Amino acid sequence: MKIETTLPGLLSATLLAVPTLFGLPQAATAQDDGAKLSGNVRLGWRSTDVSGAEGKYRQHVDLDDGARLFALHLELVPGSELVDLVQVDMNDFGGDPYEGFDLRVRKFGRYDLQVQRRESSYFYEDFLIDPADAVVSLSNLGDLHHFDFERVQDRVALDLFFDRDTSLKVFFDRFTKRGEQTTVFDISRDEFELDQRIDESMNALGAALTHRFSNGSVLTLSETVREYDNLLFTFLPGFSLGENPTNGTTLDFYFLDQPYDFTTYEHRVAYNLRPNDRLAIDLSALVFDLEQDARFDEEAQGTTFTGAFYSDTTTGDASFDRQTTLLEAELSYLLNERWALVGGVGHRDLDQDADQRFGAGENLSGWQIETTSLEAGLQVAATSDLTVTFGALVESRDVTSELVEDGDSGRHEVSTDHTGGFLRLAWSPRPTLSLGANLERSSIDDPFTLTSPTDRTRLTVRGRARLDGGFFVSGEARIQEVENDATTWVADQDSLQLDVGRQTDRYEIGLGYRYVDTQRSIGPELDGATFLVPVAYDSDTGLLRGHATVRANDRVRLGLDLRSYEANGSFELERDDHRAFVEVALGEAYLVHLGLRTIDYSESLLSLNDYDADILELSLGYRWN
Amino acid sequence: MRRNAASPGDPPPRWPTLALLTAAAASVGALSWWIAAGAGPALAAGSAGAVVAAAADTSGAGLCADCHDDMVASLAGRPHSVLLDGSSHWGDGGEEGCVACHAGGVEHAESGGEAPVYAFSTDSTAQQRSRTCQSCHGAAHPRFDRSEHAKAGLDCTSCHSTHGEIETAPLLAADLVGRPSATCAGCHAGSFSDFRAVNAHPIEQGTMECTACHDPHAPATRVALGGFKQQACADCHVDKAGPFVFEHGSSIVEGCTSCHEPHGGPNRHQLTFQSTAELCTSCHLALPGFHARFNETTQCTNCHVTIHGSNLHPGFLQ
Repeated sequence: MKIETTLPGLLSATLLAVPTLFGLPQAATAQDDGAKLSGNVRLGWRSTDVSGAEGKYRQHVDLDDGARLFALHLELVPGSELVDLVQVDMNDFGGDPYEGFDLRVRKFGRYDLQVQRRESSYFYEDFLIDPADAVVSLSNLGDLHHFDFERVQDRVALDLFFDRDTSLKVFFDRFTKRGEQTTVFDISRDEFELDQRIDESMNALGAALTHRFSNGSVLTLSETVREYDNLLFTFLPGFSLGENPTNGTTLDFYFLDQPYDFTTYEHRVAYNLRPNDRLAIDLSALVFDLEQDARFDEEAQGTTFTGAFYSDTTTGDASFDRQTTLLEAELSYLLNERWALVGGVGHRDLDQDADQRFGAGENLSGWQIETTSLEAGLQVAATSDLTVTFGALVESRDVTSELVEDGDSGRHEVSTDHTGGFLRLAWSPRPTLSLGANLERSSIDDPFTLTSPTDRTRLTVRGRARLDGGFFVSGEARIQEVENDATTWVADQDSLQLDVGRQTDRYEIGLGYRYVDTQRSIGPELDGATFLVPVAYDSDTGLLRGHATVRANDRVRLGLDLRSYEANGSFELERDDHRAFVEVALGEAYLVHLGLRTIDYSESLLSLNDYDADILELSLGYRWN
Repeated sequence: MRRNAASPGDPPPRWPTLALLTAAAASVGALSWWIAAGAGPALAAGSAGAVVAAAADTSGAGLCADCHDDMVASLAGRPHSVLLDGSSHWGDGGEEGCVACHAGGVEHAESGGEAPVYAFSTDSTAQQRSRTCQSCHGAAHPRFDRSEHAKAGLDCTSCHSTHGEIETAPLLAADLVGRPSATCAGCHAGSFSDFRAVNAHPIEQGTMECTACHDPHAPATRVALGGFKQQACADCHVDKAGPFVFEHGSSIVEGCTSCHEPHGGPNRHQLTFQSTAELCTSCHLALPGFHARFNETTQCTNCHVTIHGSNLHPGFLQ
């Protein structure tokens, strides 16, 4: 399992970590010449014991047995004229689902080189219904989609600061997503599970030049090119009777090859004017040009539910154009030290056309989405403790979609107007205490979808305080009401977050609670029509978290992290995810870390998804300063 | 000009890696000369005491260090040390030393500490306070004045610490494993808790940060977080972004959050409902007659498999 990721991961970790460890004497010598090396590394072994739904465990946690580089952090100040600071960070290398690597090399005010890699695995397998209760005619066989793939994101970026006024940024990004998934093909109301190859890659190359003129204005020009390829291929692994054994539908042979690729050119120009100390005007234009091509080859052979044999081969292709234009103008004017006027106007436009031929048919589709917005606000530093900000937003959006499908054409136009306002209060009577409130209110006419809001109100109150003796308390409460006048649709959500704790030299302890109450419902009837299913979603979730770390003495540190998550309402589940660790320092530089994590997951409706897991980690750390 | 669609047998697209490497190698020599030519006395590598001493020679910060030696010394090894070390390109017009940020420093010193020095006090608006930083960093974040953070009365120093120890994410006052998102969690603890739900984006696992979707220095416009298939989502979920011959209207117009909870929640695929039947019929009230046999346990996406958009079927069946 995961041979491809495990070996390179371990190799990379070893290559970086071992020389660093054994290179300590050299580093110490270098320090005498003005260089300074600091950092830490933690290498070890993980053992896991999972019982129950292993697929669900992989979906949620996916930690596996084996050797790991849990963490590496290095900082080198070389004392060189060429480099001020080198930083290296690695985490969870050796086959974990989330691996990260960062390298940053800088000469302050001259250059900044950043190299980054992020790898993440995604696995999805869900039993939504007991197979014994599944009914094909209800199409409730569970979620037949399974996913098992890995994303890798690489980035190399270099900032060059030529002087105080001119800088250049160049970057290269690479993104890949590879693996497999299961999808479904519906024939004669029967469902067939198909395999689908996931093979996506994207490369992006970009550069941005920024220059500040003598009058203080700043011009930024940037260009980015992206190339994306998706080698999408769907096929039936062998022969299938379908999910419904009581009829005669079969699929003897099937594949659908539909690779596509696009190229995007992104052009951006921004001009920031600073005519004087009070006024700032920012203008920007951003244009995305996307051109995409696709090709289709489909071949199917089988029998319909009447027993008739069929064999079909269809080919086709498609081309797409999408242009997105964003124009923004923003203004900020300081009336005096205590009053600031801020405003912005924006226009965004998306134009998209597609031309597709598949078999004998030809389809054309087009979308145009135009949005124009205006926002203005005023900020007042009413007193040295209190800041008040208020403003209003007006936005109009026009959507036009056209579709020509096998000779039949249709056109759809929707115009949506959105008005809103906001009020924010920030009160900070002293550095250790801050309170804030935010009220937003929106009204939307003619929303695009049936369940888009026509009225939205959101009130958030937030506060933080640090008290004598290392005590702290923070909290946030939010009330959000969302309605649609036309459909009686309601989507309200209330939430609360409260944290208390104490931090001293010897220990840190904290207790937090998060509560989210969500209601989404529509009345049973609308304009005389009855909804197919009752839409009455209800969810109360709570996350209780306790956290403590104690320094027992100069050499021993203990830690505990308790998390209990619970969801009630339409979908009920419980998850306890508790962790404990003990760290023992050996000498000045070494550390032994023993960690235990236990997870207990259960769903009320279906025990097939339940699992328990115990994860034990033993690692050796090394630190140098 | 359009490229031909790739086929499974085609080699992967070839990027001019060799040319880039060659150019990079050729540039190294010139860059080394340029970097060394512009370098100051490399305070970054020096001890705190050396910084204080050198700063006195090059920028006048030594005067400040008479009383605030800890603050001056704390800049060692940090980007703002360039304000003290007399690096040539920073010294050609702008203020240097402590007064680059703390206006009124000379008067403050001459009055024996009586006259006030500018210290990002809340006596002024967020826009006013951020001007100090924007005098150098304005080109990087010109839209900050209209950001949600500025509206909340925050300035640059609310998140960025210009004095202190070197962090993994420099200048950020993060205290949770040195990650930028920890700074966000200081105020947005509720959102951070949502990432600890059963189905959530992997913020806590370290593979992404809040800034993958949110730009803390810019307004939260529809373009960034709503509409046009949500560009922020499309950076990773490219295959869901289209364009498609048959677009899912709610997705292209209202964006991904029509159906998904972006931070996290109890439902699979971070959907706003656990049941796709409930989710889909919230909008799709009028359905073809044969759908009458279905109920709330039906998985709509078992037939409508390309729900984010399809190039072959208007009903998203393939």
